[in-house]
Amino acid sequence: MIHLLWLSLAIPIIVHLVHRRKAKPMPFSTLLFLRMLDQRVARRQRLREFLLLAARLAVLAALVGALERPILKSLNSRGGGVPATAVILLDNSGSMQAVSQGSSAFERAKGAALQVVDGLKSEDTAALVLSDPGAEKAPVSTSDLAGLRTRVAALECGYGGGELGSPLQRAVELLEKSPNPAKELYILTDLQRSAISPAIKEIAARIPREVPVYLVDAGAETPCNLAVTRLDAGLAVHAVGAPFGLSCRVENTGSRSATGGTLSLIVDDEKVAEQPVAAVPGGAQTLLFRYAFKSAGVHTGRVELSPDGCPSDDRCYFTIPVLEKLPVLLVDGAPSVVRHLDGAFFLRLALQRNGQEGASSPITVDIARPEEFDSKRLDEYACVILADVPATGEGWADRLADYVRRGGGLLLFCGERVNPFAYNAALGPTAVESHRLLPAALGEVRTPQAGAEPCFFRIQEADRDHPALREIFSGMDLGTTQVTSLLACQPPSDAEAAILLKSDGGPLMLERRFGAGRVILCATSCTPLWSNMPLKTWFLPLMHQIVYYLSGSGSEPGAVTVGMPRTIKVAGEKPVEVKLLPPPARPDDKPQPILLRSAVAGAENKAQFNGTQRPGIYRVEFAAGERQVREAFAVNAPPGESDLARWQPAEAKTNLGRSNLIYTDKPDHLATVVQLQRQGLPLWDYLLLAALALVVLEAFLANVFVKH
Amino acid sequence: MSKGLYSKYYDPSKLARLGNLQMLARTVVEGYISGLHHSPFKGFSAEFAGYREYMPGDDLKHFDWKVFARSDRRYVREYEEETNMTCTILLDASASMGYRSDGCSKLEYGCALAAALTFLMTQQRDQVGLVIFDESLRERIPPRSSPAHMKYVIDRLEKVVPRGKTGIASSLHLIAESLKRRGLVIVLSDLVEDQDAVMNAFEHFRHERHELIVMNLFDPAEIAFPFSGLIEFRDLETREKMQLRAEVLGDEYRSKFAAFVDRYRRDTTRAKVDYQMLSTATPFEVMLAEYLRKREKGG
Repeated sequence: MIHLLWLSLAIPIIVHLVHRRKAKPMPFSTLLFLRMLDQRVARRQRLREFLLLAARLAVLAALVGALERPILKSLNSRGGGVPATAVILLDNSGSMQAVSQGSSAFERAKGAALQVVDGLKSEDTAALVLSDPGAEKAPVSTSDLAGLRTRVAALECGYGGGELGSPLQRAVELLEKSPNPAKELYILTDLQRSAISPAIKEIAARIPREVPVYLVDAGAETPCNLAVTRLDAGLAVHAVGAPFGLSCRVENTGSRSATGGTLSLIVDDEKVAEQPVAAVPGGAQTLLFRYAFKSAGVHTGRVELSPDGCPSDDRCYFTIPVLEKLPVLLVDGAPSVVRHLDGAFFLRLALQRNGQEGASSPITVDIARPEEFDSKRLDEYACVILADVPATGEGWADRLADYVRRGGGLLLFCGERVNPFAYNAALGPTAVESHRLLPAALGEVRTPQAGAEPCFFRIQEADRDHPALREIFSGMDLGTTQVTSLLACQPPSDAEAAILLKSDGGPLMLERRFGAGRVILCATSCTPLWSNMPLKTWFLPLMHQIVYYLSGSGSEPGAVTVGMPRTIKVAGEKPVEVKLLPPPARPDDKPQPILLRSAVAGAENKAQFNGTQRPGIYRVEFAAGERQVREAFAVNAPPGESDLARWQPAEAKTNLGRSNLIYTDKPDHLATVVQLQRQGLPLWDYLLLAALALVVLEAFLANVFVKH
Repeated sequence: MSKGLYSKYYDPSKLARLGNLQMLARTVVEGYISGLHHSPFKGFSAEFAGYREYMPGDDLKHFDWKVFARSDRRYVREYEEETNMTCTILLDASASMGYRSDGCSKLEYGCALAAALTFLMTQQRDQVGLVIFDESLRERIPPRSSPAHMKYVIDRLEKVVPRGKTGIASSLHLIAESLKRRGLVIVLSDLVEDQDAVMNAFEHFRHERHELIVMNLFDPAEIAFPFSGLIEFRDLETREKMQLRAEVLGDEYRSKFAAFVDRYRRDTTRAKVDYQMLSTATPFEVMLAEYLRKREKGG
């Protein structure tokens, strides 16, 4: 019926034509003057009349059009009654915890996801894909929309990485499997740069062109965010009373300068230190805490920033195993009754002293002669030191290689008695592959040329970032160290060895990882015969640090990032039950213990935990014979999530490689956007407004513009 | 009073209205009209006719001082015939002259004016001729001064109908060539033609030493252009049609018309031609009186 109203458009046309046809005939004396008239006036008038007619037609057209209730449909619009599958890719990475405008990006994204679910019909199906799925099962499409809604409403933001490649892959697979004719993909994210890499384009290319992809930008600029991006406790093993240095790197990933903030050190739930933090946008600050543990055992702690825009990166947890005593086997290859000529004298003195007056060293040194080596059980020592031992005995290579491979630490000091060829043959490059412990092939003794000035080698370079060295050599001038002799060392070309100290005569100290353990080779002696190092003040702390460093070689890292598996080594040769207590989600929560079962694989008995979804301290308890072992490990948010740099929408679209991407930065109004796409844009409001405007225009044209 | 001449053009009521003016008083008294009408040409005969009592305003050159000296009475001399002017009235009778919006058409108005002038001049013993033309010379009546001639002229005027196209310039040139005696030439036309050509024709008359009076006749509607709405104008001469929305072009028309008239006014002044734009709404007697007044001043 309304269609007939379109005929009303003929009314002004007819009126116009009739009006024109009714030109009054008028005999006139002459058309001379009329011909002289400027015909442009008449043409202008005709144009005005045409405009008036057009305005009247437009008014009628707008009114009739509004009555028709038209809808502007896009190519992505789907007809009513067609079952659809909506795959919701919800970014629940740590960066989504960033708070702006009173709510976090995740809350906004979650609200948008709920709008999507609420907008689905009963015959539709939906699937939820999380960027950080955690321990959840593989996502599947479900028609239980109420259940899905409940699940979405209960979701909490994760802490893991937000790379969207893998979840998008899962989402695409769900779309491909869906039998429904209509499909929709929703990507609810904060457009974090690290989340949408250009490589994602290949995955997005698999999405059929007819599938509308909604990119919902739930993020916003976070003005102020300080983040602990690195926490370095240096050594894996510490001893009671020994100074413990904790290096913390704090970055400002916000857009404003951060001042007035603090970084606190909390050890065993007790705040023990606090330092002010200030950084410009994009700037970083490294803070160093020093602390000495008073008791042995596994100590836990965290550094904590004052609250800011993104709470997920304000805390960084750590666990430090502190030992009461650290047994070290020192094999003295040059025993002598003359103390200063004894190969182990200075080393023993350094290790058995604490450096702090009145305090005893946690290191217990068991000195053995080479012939006694066979009688020693290496497993009882945290570290083995060979000092000027001429050559390894029979079977040593096997034992040492096995010891180091299993996580032990080996420190080798050269000297005038050392036979480099024997070492090379037993532990060096010419040894069997499983015994190649040495960081470098040993060569001949190297001394400064006769008559040369100076008549000794100097230390030229030191790896001052090395965990064992940085506490000692940070800012120290090593120019006074004199090395008169050293064994030439040729590191392998495969870069497995690292040079810790380098003199002008060649590498002086080298390190190599071997299996789970480490080997450090010192090319000079630990006696004053080849260098004055043992006489230097830094020799004692350096030896302590190296021993601590090597002692912790086999231990598991004290902290892992969210989502990474954690291996828990247990003692014994039989599977045992491991009780794991995750950190509480909220301060007043009491987390339920998780029971794991260890498995014996080869010589190792271990359990693996894959549920590190929340940062914090995870406590582990298991039985080792009759003894109950209590350990802990820390889980931290990935530092990449602190980088809140965002893609521009156009860049994100480019990365996704979809020109017909439907982008919105208003997650609160996603339902409107979706409805618009599904059903089209209702035009009648606009048409009525247009009609109103055209009526005003027509009045203007009729009364002002066109003369009557 | 009989029908015919006097019934249409010499309407006593119109004459009565004319009598309100100074010229009318002189027209009523035969011969006195010449006091108003100074002919530029002297006649060959000036016979004394008698005396009459002096009236204020009479020309003192006709005052008889001898009689005044002898009898202390004031008389002026009167002559039988004062002038012997030849006047030719050129009446445009093309179709455009037949236009009327209300009242009389331009041709009717022109005919009335021509009749009145004929009567007036005949009363003054002036010879009056008439040429009726459109694009060609339609009728030509040579100048005479007899009452019978006047009657004949007015009779011809009664029968003139508008037709044909305007050919003012060419017709005027023909007439100018054919007039043998110089005299007064009165043109009654709407002059709707190429102005340069028309002025050229006027110059022709002036070259032949004729005195030229141009009465440019227009209908009030042609002057005011009071039309509105969509009108299809039809040219009375060419039958050409032009559809216009009159209210849009009114201002433009009036501007063009004023420029048209102004140009005639300017060019005729320069050519020493008496030009008078007449609206047919104006009573022609008024225009006649105005003409006589103008002639008297120019005398």
